[in-house]
Amino acid sequence: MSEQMKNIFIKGKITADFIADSISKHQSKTNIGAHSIFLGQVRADVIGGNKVVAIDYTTYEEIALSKMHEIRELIFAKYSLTCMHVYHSLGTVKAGEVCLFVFTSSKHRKAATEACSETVELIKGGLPVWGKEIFDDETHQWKINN
Amino acid sequence: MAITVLFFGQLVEITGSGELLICETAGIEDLTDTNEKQETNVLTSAKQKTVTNQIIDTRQISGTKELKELLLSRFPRLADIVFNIAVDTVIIEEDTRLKPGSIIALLPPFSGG
Repeated sequence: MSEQMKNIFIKGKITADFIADSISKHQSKTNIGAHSIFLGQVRADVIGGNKVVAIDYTTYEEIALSKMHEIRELIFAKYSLTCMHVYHSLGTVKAGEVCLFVFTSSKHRKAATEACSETVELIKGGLPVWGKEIFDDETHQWKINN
Repeated sequence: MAITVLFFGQLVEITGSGELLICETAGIEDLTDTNEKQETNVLTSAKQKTVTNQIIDTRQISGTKELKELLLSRFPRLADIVFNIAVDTVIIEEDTRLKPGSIIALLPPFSGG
């Protein structure tokens, strides 16, 4: 694949405007018949009486971007996709805000939905990103992915 | 030989810094020479910086296994957390030889998304 390694990271939340723009950019690609979108949102979990108000994300960018490139190649080899876009937040994202945006498009729905779902799993398990859950009393704990 | 160690996630809280330089004994004299030329207040801050961000060790650290032992003896609480090691951005499974200038990263379990 000749495609350059893309930077997937965005400082802070991923806005609804950004997502809408991304969708509208695909209107010119009329060979697409299906889009699948996953949005990860910061949840206000209550743990031991304290509520999560935000997650602070950090990464090891050198490994994260090459790993994302690998994931992209694997997914394109496995599914008949027209295109795929991934964005992940860094820094502080408040509860209720979007921190992960995965967008896959294909001719028919099955490839887009399955590729989207598998990409999310691979990102959660394989990208060196760490989330620090900040509580309302300013204490914190390190997020654990299921 | 000097190598750089990067810490991520909760490991930063254990080590107190995201980055640590590890030098052999020979590095001490260089540092002292530089410090002696500075004024007293600068000397103090330089020493503090040395304590925080630099380990000078008499052992020759040739591989990741030795490095891990050194880090565990310096920061015993690292033993409480499972982490992977990357050498020059490649995650390694076995003891890996280190070169001067290698960048080693300690990566706790990922929790993105």
